Amino acid sequence: MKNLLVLIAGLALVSSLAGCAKPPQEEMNGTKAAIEAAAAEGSAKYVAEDNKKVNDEYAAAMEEIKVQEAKWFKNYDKAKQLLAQAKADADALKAKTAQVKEELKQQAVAALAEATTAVTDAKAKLETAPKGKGSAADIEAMKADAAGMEAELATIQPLVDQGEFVAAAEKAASIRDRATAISTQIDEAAAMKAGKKK
Amino acid sequence: MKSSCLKTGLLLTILMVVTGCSEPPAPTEIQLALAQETELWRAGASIYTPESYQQYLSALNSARDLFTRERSRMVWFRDYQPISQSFAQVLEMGKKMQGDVQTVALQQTTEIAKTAATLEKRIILLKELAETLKDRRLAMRKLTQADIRIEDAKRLAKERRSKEANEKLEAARIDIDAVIKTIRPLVERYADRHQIARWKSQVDQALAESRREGKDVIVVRKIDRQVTLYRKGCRVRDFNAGFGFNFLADKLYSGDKATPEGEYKIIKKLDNSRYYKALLIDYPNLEDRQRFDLAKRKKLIPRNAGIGNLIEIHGGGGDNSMTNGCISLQDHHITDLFNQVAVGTPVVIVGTIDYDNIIASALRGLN
Repeated sequence: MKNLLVLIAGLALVSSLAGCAKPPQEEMNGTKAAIEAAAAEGSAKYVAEDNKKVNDEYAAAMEEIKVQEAKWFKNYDKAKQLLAQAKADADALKAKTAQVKEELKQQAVAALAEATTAVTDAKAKLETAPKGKGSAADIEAMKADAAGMEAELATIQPLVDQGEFVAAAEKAASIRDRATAISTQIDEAAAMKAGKKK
Repeated sequence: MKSSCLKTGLLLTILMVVTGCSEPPAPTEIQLALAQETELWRAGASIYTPESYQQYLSALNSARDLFTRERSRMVWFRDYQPISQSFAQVLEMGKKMQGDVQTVALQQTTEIAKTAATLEKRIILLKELAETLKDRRLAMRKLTQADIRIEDAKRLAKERRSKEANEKLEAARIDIDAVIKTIRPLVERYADRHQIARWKSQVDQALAESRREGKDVIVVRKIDRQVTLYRKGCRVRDFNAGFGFNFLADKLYSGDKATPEGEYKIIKKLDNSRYYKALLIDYPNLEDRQRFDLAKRKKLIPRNAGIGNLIEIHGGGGDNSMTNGCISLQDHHITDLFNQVAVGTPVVIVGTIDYDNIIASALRGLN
């Protein structure tokens, strides 16, 4: 009888010790905060694939915690490992997001500058383009084109401000190419005219 | 008895430890389903089939919850059979969704590409029209803006942002429609069969008179950019001509850069003109004055505008040249015409006599 009581007491002690293991709240909070920090940086937008991977890792860690929570003998070691991995990846994700974002921003800003220069050049060339009677209508048409480009150019900076760097860069490149085409046409016309004079 | 109980207990404990320590493997469907979910996400399921995707995620999460619950049980009580079935159902659901996602993505992409192509076609038509007609009012910046917006839409479609792509296309369509609305009043006369019939009748009458009286007549067709000399009703020669910047319009007042339409005659031959040689016509005639007075009364023209004069067929030009309202020919052509016609020769200026002219067909295309 005495032995039985000792056995029960021992079992109760072991079970209470094991059952008292608490979920790794601190690690959970840390990982969640790291993921949120990456999200705030724009991870879902700029590095979507990596963002999903980290979120999946976090979900797996949370599942492991749920498993352990329902057990008599809880062991959160694996959950802690998973959370640590997810946190490390989330930190890396945040850094990568910032890097990618900055690169894209620089590309967009550079493309906008190029497009602005190209449109300004084209407009200046249109003002001094050789104006024969035969080219006047073409110059009018090109001026209208340049005005259209200038109007669309004004929509690029807001795209940059909204973080739509890829859209801004592509639109700027398109406008730059169109404006350059005008300049090239005028240069060719001027060269042709100069050739005729000789 | 006591020893037998102890033995049985020990045996059971050993059996439970031996069998229970080896955790049954997780069903293979779980990894397959997780991989499938990633593939669906990559394929844009949340964009193309959002409702189905939510249902799918819900089913997947339920299966995962089941699995979690099962894993919380003691090893020897775990039964993964229902888990396996749940994930198999999720996989089946996802498989169907993959097809749906592809179909919807293709539908949306095709629809956007089709709309973009239609709008691009209209822009090309309008630009070709502007280039052919060389009327400055047809050169519109909105067309370039619309063109750039269509490019934006195509890029957005590639990024699976169909809603934004459609918004861009709608903006482009509004711009194009605005351009069409603006130019339609300028060009619709050239698609108006009654107007063309009137022009044709003017030309036919002039040719009949030329035939009847054995005289010369000059017929000018603006759209074709042609000046034709007829003698005794028969065509003698065509000359390519240039017109006013706003030649599509009938001249109404001084400075509108339009070339007048109507029946005129040569009133003076200028051997030494600013533009080589010139044949001055009697613009404005009575009809022109009546139209001018009416437009002035209706305040359709600037208050201080005059009716204009000195409309000539002159040299210094060619088929692509632009004037302020006169008709310009190449120097050797004006020499030829100048030498063949006399003062008093009728000059009939019309828009076109061709019912299927470039503007009419372009307007059909735009419609």
